[in-house]
Amino acid sequence: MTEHVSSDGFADYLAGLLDPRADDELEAHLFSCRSCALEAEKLAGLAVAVHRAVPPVLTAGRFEELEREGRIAAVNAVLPGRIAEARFPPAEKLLVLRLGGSDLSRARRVDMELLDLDGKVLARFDDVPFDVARGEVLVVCQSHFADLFPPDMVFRLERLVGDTREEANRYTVLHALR
Amino acid sequence: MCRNPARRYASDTIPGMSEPGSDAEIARRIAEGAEDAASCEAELCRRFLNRARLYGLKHLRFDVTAAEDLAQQVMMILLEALRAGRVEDLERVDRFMLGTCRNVAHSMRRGEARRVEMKRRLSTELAGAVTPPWDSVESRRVEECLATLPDRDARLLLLLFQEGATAAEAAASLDTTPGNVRVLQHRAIARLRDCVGV
Repeated sequence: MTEHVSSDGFADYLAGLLDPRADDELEAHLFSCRSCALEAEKLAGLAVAVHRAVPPVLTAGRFEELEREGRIAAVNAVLPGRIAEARFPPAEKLLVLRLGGSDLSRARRVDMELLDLDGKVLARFDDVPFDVARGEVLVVCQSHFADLFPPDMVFRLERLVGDTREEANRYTVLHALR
Repeated sequence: MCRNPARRYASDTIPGMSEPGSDAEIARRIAEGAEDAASCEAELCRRFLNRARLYGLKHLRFDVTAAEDLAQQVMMILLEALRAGRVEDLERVDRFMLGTCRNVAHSMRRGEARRVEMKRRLSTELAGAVTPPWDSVESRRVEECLATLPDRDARLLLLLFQEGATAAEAAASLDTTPGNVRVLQHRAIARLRDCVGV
């Protein structure tokens, strides 16, 4: 490969979307071309940051990883119909809210809304990861969320069963400010 | 030729300095044990350390500690080989680096390299001469930007870069085709770069 590599090409390489031969060709070029190496570094920095990012809703696998890394300060089980209390975690640490007690066995997709106590929608997350067997969704709370959201909020889960959208449950969480 | 001030650079572009020479010239100065061999070694690290780190990231599943280990071992192997006159083709230092990256990554995946890693470390000055790619982007900013992307974009990036999904797995999760995954990824990365400013 003698031509320079496009940003899209580097993104495909880092994401593992190229076949092995294309990987080899790109690497050979990368080691021989300083300007391409610099562009690839920028994308690599971005890719690492995405790799490390903590999404607002976790898969079970990501939850286990974060636990192994010692980043989770506390895990609070939250049940529908009850008011749960939580404390914002220290900086760099995470609080995980286990929104449980929902029947998600027939859900093909789950969406989540974040509401204030007056019912105003603050944020919406479509197609979030969920645990069918446990009937739960793992929500992450970070210390800087205290600056973004009100301390008291409601999480509303919607499930899609077939073509029918229905509310699964609502969870009220009152956060103590550190 | 290779004398440069000992300072950190965000890349191997050296502000305010003229081009210090080709890779081959620098390699030759090291191999000859020239008076400025030490500064030539530093220059070679500036040019190649991040490429080895990048290779490590890709092949060691974004484990930055392992990628740093790999990069330092590879640089040390190159420098030792140059000093000992064991690099046959000084015009193709890049090939030597890439080949060594492949060998070390293979060993690391088999769990063999850890035993020797402590013996093969660059000096702090050399290792710190170039900011690693993973320190160049602020994680929180990326998290904030991910939250502003369309859900499908953010989901795809997490599938690919966090969960290690293949194109087929990502396609199944997003109800699209594997071919379209690349297109969606390009768009998602462009949006993320725009937001983060890199």
